[in-house]
Amino acid sequence: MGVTTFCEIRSRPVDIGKKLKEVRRLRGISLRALGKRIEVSASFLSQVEQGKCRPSLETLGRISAALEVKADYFLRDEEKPAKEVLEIKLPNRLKYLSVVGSLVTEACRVHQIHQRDVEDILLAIDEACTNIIKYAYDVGSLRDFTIRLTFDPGMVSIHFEDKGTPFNPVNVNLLNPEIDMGRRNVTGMGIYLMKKVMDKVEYQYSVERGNCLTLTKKVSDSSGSQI
Amino acid sequence: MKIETVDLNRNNIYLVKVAGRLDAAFSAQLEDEIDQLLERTKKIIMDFSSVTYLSSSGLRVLLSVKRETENQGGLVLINLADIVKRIIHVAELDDFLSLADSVDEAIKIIEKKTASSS
Repeated sequence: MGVTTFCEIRSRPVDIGKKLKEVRRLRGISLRALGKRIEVSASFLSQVEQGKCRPSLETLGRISAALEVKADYFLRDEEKPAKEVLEIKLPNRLKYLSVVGSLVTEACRVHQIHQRDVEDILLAIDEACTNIIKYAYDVGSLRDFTIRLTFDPGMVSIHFEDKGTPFNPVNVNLLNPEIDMGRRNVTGMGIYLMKKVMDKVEYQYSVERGNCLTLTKKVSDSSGSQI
Repeated sequence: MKIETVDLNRNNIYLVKVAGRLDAAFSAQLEDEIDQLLERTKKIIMDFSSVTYLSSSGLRVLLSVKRETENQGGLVLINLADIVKRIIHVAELDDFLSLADSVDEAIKIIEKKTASSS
């Protein structure tokens, strides 16, 4: 007789309570209203949300129906939660630099990013946008480009795409900022600052997407501790 | 962006009050105004208390003004917001640009420099 070994592979338990609270709030339904609809008490639902008890499959089915989500929604374990991405499409005009500045400031505030990191991010984005607006397209032609901000825990990445002249800022180096800055119309200073305040600057060019520049920075939360 | 120039009636020192974002959209405007002023004086104090942002384009204007005035009085920046100080620091220009906290302090810096060079 052979020995059978049971090997239990456990995945991370799904946090039903957290998901329930999130969807319920999104739908704008109170604990009481939901309880009434599916005939359970509000306090029971509250306990589920706090992770103090698990509902039966049957109850979970009724909750899913009431909140208009798929039946397996609360049981699915998404390994990678969807990222929060903010995408902005801008005309290549310098007057929009201030618009980007305000928007990025607010987005960082919402994500509780430390002021020092926000300042660095603003500087890098402003310099990257300035380069695209001034040099990517023929002078005077009205075109656009996109900025995509992705907020991950402890990390912000900013992706720029334009269909202009291929230009790789990663290859631009400044040895002496003071000397180079003195000359007018030197583009290198902006790139120097951008590289200095970000942790990673990556560039790719493809015929379909054009210039793709990705800046990444590790960030702290507003209290100053690493998120 | 708003730029206002005031003659301090003291040794031909002028105070330039700048307000707004000193980015690529407005650095040319500042440069034009300052170029006009440079015909009258080489002793300039810039009040940055209402400057909310500074980019490399703005820095470039400041450096060119600094160079042009250096031996005849110079350029002193006063009342810089934290974000502006931070950008100057990132650009490693803290020691290169003259910074002060008040008009009086800036006047002293300029007068000291003019006295020593004359």
